[in-house]
Amino acid sequence: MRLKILHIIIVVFFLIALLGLVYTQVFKGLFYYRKSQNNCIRIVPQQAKRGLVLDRNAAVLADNRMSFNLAIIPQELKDKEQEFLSISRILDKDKASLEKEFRKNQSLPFVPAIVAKNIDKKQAIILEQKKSGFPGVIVEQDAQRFYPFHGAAAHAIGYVGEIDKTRITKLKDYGYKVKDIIGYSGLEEFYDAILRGQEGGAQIEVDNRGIPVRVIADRLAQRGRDITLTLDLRIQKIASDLLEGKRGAIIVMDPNNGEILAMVSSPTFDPNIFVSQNSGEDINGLLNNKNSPLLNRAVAGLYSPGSVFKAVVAVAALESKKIDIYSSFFCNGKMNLGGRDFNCWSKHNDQNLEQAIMHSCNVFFYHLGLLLGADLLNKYAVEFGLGSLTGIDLPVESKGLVPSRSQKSIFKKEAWFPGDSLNFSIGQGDLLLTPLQAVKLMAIIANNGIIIKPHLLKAIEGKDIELPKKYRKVNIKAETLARVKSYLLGVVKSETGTAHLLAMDNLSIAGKTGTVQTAGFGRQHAWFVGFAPFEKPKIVFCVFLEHGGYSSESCVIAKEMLQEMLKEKIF
Amino acid sequence: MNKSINNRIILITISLMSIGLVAIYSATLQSSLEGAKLIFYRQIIWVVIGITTLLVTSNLNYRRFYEIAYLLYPISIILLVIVFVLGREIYGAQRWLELGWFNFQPSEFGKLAVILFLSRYLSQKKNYSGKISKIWQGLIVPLFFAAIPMGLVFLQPDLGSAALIFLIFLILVFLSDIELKQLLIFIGLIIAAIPFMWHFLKEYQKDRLLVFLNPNVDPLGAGYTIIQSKIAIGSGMFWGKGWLSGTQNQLNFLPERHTDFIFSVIGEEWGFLGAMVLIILYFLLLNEAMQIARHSKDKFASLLAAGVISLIAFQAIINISMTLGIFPVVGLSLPFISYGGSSLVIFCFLIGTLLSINKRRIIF
Repeated sequence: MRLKILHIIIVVFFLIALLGLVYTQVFKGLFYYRKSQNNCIRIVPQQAKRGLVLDRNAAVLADNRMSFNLAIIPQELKDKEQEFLSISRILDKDKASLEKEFRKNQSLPFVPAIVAKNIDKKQAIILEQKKSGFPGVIVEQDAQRFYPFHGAAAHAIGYVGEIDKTRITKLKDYGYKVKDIIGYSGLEEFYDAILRGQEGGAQIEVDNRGIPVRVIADRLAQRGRDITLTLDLRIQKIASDLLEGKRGAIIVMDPNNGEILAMVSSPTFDPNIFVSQNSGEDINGLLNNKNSPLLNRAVAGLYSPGSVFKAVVAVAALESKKIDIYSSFFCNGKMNLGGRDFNCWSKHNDQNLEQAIMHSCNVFFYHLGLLLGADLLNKYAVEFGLGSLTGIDLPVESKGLVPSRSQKSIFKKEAWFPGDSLNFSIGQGDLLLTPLQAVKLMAIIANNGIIIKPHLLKAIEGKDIELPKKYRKVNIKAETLARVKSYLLGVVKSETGTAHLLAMDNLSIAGKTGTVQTAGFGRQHAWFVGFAPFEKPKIVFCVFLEHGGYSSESCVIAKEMLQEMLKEKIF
Repeated sequence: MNKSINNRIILITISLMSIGLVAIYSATLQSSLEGAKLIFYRQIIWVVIGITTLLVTSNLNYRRFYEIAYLLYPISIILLVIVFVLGREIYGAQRWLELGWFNFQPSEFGKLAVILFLSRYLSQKKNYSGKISKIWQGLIVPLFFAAIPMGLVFLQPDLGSAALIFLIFLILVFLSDIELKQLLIFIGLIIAAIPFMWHFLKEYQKDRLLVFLNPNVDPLGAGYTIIQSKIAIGSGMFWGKGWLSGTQNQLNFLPERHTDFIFSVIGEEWGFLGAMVLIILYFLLLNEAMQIARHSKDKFASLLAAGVISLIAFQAIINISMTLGIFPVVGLSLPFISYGGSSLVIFCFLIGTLLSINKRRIIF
């Protein structure tokens, strides 16, 4: 009887074990099967080399350089204290920060965790030789972005870095992963999908120590595609040297197709510091710098155009037949409107349109402002592309502001006063544009009305991108544009022109100066926006100096730039 | 006597040992342990020695075991003391004695000695003078004799074997003529004492018990084995990954896999099908053995058979359960399957005694 009970107990326990087996192998079988796969199958990613960024003459602007990372295989680490101490001596780095990095990057006991990125080549060789003394230490090779010209084209090109949280949530559907290197700002960001290539990797079977046993499958990484920019490094360098130590922007564009030949924003930064591992302080310095070196002033800085806008007002007045080329107004240095004086920078006496543009006479344009009124001023500003994006291939662009009656009533809760028209007509007041918009505006005049789209990409993998076969034209008579265009020549050519100091024997330059009064904040903004050669424009350009003083300051820089360009035989 | 029972038992035992050989071959194929290649061949030799022992034992009169029971017991105690002292002084702490080319585990021998001793003691006619004397002779004295080897095994430290000896003691006392009420009170007292026993456990034993409750508290330490073992068995799914093709096994994720965790290797490579066949074989073996125990008119023979059955059954159940993570890892091998000479020979000896009992059933 008691034997029977024992028998039953044993049978019950066997059944329990059998049930456990059914549960583990049948019900949870697939779950454990996947776990066993995770155990022994490692995906070893192979970074795709990022495509190069070249200038129009194939000079490398963003390169990939061999770099060395120091990594440690956690489970092979024996005497952690001692090892980190020795490493910190060799690398000449703080031991605590190395340990912090190690903890941060540690994943599985057999997966190497990076301790120091981008170590010196000499240090890498020393560590490689002393390897036996440091169990678990390995030196990994890595390709690292390098910008050989440092700050020269930093704003246009941008930089790369490890993907951040906001971007990963936005981009994970497009195959971006944690720790991916992606482009930040500039073309690196805008054309990231082209530049990044496709990560490859191998599925490797490993044993319990992470030692590869066999390769199950592998896919080669696909190099990112190279992009060729419209930038001309020679002009870029000239321009960036000229702006050194100043705040402002220079843009040089081919008016015929919108190719940006140079785009400089100053102050600039060295994009390489974002790539290197140990420049947290430098990056903070950039972010906290009150001169905002990271801001691309050329496309995202908003400024009043000042007298540059007079070119638009002149077109508006002629086109809407408010005046003709013979109409003249008397300038005694100011205009009184509603008990308030609106000043001119000089007394010009009788001025017709040609003279008023040449001398940048405010009083003449005040009269035009009153004749045109808010709506027509607004209409022509918009016609020249102000207040809307140029659509340049950069991730950040500002669209500026063109004043109008409705804008003023909505945002300022005020009616439009005639005084607003006066300010508007000389490019002061609420009107804001980016230097790129100023260039585009000038390009429309230089092109006799053809609207081009400014862009920086010339070719992908050596294959030129397609440009539009036909361009849109502004809704302005060619005759009007030709007239104003010819007056812009006088600004430089005439001895009394505001930009006469820019006059050169071997190059005919046209354009418009601008000196912007800034309400109490330092000196004026200085503008010169123009094109050359006058007969058949090859470049439109803009020299803008933020709080740089009178427009002549810009003209000086523009002249130096053009002379350098002539010297380099770029024309 | 029933000859077909003996034949079936021999067949099942040899089947189990063959399965063990096949599994050990696979388990040691990629092992990085020194001398791993020799393990399979050594086990072949042990199987041969085991079968010989089984046949020789089956032809002995089992009453001879009755006679030597009281002799084997003190020998086993001496061996346990020797391994305890030597283990402490020379090697740190270990469970075996190095005897030339093999390691002898006195704890395995201790289990055998306790079964023989208790079977003899409990089968002897007692002169009970009242209730007290019955408890004394039926429970306290056997407990005393079981406790000595149990304590020594526990100190080795081998928690699993100590628990198993205690379990066998309980079963044999239960099968002798103690009153059920007394036994239940005794078990109640033991259960009440368990919290106090916690303090006597070694740190690693506490760890193992805690890890059993939640293997993930220490996935790279004590929990590692359990996790890897569950993954191995589970990933075998229904059909298994095939012989020599278990990734957990062949890629060294599974520790101790030719000894205590051999079942995980079988589960991974032969799947539910193979593992179930193994359990069914144990089940059939114990069914046959149970018939011998039941039909034996000799009290000693019946208790001996029941002790043998309990030892094999519970050691197998505990081992399988611990590989499945439903019992703490206590270091018990899988009878007839795990690598290990002393264990295999002693189990074969025990099977031999069963056969011997069956052969001589008619005589009494």
